[in-house]
Amino acid sequence: MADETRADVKINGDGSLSGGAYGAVTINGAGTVNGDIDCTEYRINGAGTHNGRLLAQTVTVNGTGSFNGELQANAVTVNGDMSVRDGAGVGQLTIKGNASFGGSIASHDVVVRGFLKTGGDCESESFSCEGAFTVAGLLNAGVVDIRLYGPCSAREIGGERITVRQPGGGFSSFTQIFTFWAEKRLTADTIEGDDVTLELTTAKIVRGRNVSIGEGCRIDLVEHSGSCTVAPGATVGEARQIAPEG
Amino acid sequence: MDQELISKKDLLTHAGISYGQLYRWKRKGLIPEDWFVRKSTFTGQETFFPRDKVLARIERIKSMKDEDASLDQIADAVAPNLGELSMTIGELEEKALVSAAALELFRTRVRDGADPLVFGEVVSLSALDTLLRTGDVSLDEGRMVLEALQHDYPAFEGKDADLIFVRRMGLSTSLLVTGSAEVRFEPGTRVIARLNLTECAEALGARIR
Repeated sequence: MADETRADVKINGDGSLSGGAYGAVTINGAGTVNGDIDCTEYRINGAGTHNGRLLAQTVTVNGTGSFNGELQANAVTVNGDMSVRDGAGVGQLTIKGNASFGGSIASHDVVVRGFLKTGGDCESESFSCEGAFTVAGLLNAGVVDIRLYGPCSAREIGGERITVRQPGGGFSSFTQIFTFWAEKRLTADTIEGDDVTLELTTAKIVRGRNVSIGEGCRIDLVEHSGSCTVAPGATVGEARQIAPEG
Repeated sequence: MDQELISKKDLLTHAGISYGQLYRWKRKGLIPEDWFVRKSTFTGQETFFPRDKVLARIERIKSMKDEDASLDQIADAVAPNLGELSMTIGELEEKALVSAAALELFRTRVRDGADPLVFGEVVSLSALDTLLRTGDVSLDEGRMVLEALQHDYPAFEGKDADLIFVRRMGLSTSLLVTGSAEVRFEPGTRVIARLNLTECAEALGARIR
């Protein structure tokens, strides 16, 4: 990537850029990029529209960025509003605003401090959310850690350790931002993991080794091979012990 | 012929693995996306797998893990990136990795030259070679299969696909279906071969290495 011939480009005000290989691409104001881009740094301060694929080391959106194509990057930080028409492959995805993807995302590390939406699956080694999300397909992550600050939903959730908790104290200013949102609850068809700890969750089926169903949960069926605890404030239709693996 | 399916729950009990492991292997690409077959059951949507394929794959992963291979190493072994394979027609001929008949057919019908083979061509060539070697398929039919592969395989790009070759009352035809598809034919139809194209190409890839 450290190609000497790559030029840095900057759009200040209103302008457009065609595809190619660049160093740092910065859009200050309003910019349109037409074509596939391969660059080291891609930054939008203002409003940017990208028609084509984007391959970058880092992508930062401060403002609004809409990407009509696929996105591949080592690190993406969204401090404003970002929409990607297709899927994305991102090493480290940090969302402090709003991000929506038409397709699936594959990542190493996802941190949501705002709102995430995917039209497909979301795969990551770790998925940490203090905000809200909608994953239309499968949310598959080694460690899923969700603090409910808004409505969260996924068709399926699978992983090793899945934890869903109500927001704790000490974060009040952040909580206030999200209070206008609807009910704080996680909704999923199925949740499957080795260690599953849930609060305020509605699911048809929860399967795992050690399952803990906390306050405010509404679960139709729990299947566990190890232990299962149900808090007094939870509703569980049926809990079944199944044969342990191996 | 029909692929027997196994539910996720039965698979885990049978193979002795946990949900966490299954999902991790899926993320690492050790178990192909296409093997996750979603079906409606009375408990809602459930996931099923092609039984024989997935059990064989899990055995392989487990035995490699016992030898202390990392997940990435296992991923390379079970689902090698064939796009990185570079081989020309001439080299294949020299090392006699593909039968002369298959190569000859490929040369006349598709192309000749010293350019390395692309993935789709490796798939076509390996499938053709496998069929011709069994002796169940004539050269003429091989040509037909080759045309079908060249024409239709791109539509399955990146997916698991099977080639089915059938004969009925002396007429033969071939078709491409997704790897997990269930296919039924009229009575009296003989299924001569069902080849998984990815496996075919992987086998050739292994021989090239």
